[in-house]
Amino acid sequence: MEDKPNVHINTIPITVDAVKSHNEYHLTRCTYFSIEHKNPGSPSVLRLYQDIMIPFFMIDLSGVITAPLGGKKQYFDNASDYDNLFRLIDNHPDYYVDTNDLWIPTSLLDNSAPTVRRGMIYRIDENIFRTVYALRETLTSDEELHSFLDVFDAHGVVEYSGVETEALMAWQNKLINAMKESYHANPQSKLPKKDVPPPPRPTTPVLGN
Amino acid sequence: MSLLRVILLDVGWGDAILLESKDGHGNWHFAVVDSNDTSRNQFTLNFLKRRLQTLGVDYKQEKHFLDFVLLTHGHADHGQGLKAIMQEFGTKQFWYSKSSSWGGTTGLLKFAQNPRQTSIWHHQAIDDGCVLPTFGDVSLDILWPPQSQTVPEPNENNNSIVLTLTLGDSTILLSGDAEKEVWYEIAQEIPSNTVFLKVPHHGSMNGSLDGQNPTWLDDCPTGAKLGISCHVGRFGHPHQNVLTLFDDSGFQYVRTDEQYHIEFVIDEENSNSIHYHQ
Repeated sequence: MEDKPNVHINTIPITVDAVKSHNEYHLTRCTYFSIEHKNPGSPSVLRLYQDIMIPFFMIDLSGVITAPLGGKKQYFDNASDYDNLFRLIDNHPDYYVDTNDLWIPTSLLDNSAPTVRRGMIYRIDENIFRTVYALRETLTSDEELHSFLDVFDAHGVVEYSGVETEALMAWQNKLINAMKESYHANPQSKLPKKDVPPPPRPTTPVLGN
Repeated sequence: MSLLRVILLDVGWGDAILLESKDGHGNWHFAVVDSNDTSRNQFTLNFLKRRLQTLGVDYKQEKHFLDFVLLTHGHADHGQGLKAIMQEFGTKQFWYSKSSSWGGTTGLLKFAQNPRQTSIWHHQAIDDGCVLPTFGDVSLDILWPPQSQTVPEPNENNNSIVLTLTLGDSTILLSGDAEKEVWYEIAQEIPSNTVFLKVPHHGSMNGSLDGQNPTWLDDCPTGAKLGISCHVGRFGHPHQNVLTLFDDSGFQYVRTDEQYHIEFVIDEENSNSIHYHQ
């Protein structure tokens, strides 16, 4: 299934990391990619109130990534979009891409696609992002979160993005395969193996939830 | 005299563990196991910076300062922040689990494979068949995952690398988030000289119990001290049933949500000590 999201401007893609439940709390930990500035001293200009320009030297920047590089595509629809994002930004002397987490009520994700699972990507709008980000940074309380959820139905976007889920998985598999090929091509560069093999283990996954 | 210090940082949730090893020549070695730093809250990175300042260690003198960075498994509360740490300090080795589900931490794989990155000298997935280099005078070994495993576990927690660190005749065991299915396989391999064990999966039920039955505690040497890197409140970590088990079994435990950072030290003469906020 490669569902393309009904793209809304300024939605943020988040990736499901782990679904948690305990008593009254049903929250899903998700991650988002951010661009980070690492070397102080880049001259920049900030525009306030449309016409007030403030020149400054940037020390720190942290920005949430919402779309692939180039500004022409609104969502990541293939592995190369992710690969180029990381490759070009990480190879820049002043910036890098990082991963951060936040917690989002599972009920918001449930409405968009059945069975929330690790690796699934959703797009959420700015209001939801700001609310759950504040929760992450303990800038808001659980009570405020529940109040927000009470009015959520009237506002806000949460949408499963199947095409981005597939693209991230494809990128991940490409990297894993590259790692395995490198290992087999250069075994002498890897950690040595024990002379006496460890005791035999199951070769198929043990039963897990 | 050689010593090993393991510091479980209080990071609210997740794991962040700093390792310090002084070898017989008086040289210090440092390593990091997991991190829960965010871009805005680089707690582990700043703690390590400040710690090195206090010890009078200038990490900028060495391109790959850390002996190793270990990502036990691909969950964000263990992997986020490691990229910034490796960029800041450099590392000789970056080790990770044989997961097939990296999700948001896929970026770490990309970073390691980037031919232009200079922060990591060597990286690979590891298992119990690997011979790890010594950490100062400390021997490292892996109990899980198995070399024979060809398909990663669907439950990402069960891809956790379970690591032992041995100095003299004392062992410290770091368990990641390994759950009961893993302990069924390896509990009997918990070294008999284990003196400190990081409780699996933040003290959750799945990490230590199968119903009412302990999954690894019966194989843990009596007298070993337990450290729990806990969530604050919300998700019931540590679970009360797990704490009751420890109490009933007479095991001493300390928890980061109540006792802040936990520091455990062993030396080559087999003495050990535990330090935490009272």
